[in-house]
Amino acid sequence: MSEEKNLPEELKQLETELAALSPRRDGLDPHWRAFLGKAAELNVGEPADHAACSAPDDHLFLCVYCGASRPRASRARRWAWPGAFSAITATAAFLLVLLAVHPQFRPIPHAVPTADGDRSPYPGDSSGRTPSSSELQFTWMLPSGPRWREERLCRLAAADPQSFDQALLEYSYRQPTWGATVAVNHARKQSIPTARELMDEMLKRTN
Amino acid sequence: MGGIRAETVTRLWDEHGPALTLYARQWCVAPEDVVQEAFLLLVRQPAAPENPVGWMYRVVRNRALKTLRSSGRKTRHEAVAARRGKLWFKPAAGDRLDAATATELLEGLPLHQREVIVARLWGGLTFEEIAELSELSVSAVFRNYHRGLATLRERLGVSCPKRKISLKN
Repeated sequence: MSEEKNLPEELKQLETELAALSPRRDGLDPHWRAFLGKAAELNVGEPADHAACSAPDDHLFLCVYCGASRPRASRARRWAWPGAFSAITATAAFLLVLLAVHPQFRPIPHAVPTADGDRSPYPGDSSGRTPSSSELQFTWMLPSGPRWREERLCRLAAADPQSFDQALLEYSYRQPTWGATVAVNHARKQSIPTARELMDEMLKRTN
Repeated sequence: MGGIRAETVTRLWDEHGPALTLYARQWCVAPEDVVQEAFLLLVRQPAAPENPVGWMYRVVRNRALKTLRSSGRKTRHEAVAARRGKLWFKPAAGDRLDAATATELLEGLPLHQREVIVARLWGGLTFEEIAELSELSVSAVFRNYHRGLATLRERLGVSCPKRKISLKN
């Protein structure tokens, strides 16, 4: 190009001085070459050299001289962040689907003390009212599992404040599954089981 | 293997591997990985590129920039710190300009000037190829080259008066 000829003489000399320097090669060990393994269909060197590696298909790089393979340290580093992101996204998506399929899936209100000393399972409900039959049946529907049965049983036991503590002790922490079974049977019959009924059933089965 | 022959890859590796690594070093802390990936991409091409050397430089540049963008600010600072004090060239007794001085001087240049100088002097690319590579006009590329060399000469002459290089015969 014409502009190249306009480069001053002193810069041309510096250019020559710089060009005489050789870039480092130690990062690129000449013993290792960037060739694919057998899976990638590129063969450089003798096939016997490649056969020396026990698992050539697992590595991108093979030595063309000895056939040994060198795993790349950067591969794990490169996929660490996308992997974590994918895991978080999948978990969030699963939870969203769960919420969409089971909208009742929500935190259970804990029993709170009311003004007159009774305990209501509904936060903010200071009247100490007893949950209606439909409310109790609804809460028995989903989800299942011992832990949830315990919680539901606590709520159900609260409907009978007189024996709340005994029911909580006996059914929630000892045999919640049996208590839950009894409660579900009562719910199917459109009646509210009292804590005393649950306790009687429990004792009957225990004995 | 598809379009490119193994012998061509071998020749490219031997002749341009170190220069490509030096070129990628302008942006990222692990230039060897970038160059390796570029070679693998070349091997996987269904047809050989028309100008394999220019193609390799473009791929290396894109990959190095991508690595730079994906790395966080902290990583970039660490990369700069890691680069500092590490020689870019092989020390040789016969060179009038020693490797440490050249590395230090080049590191002090703005990136757009340094890139052109590296691609031109060690990559052997023409100004037209560099212009296409960096998406600038040929005049702009030459201007960057000229200014970069002038800056290097000025720094050699002013701040390093006892250097081995003699600019005036």
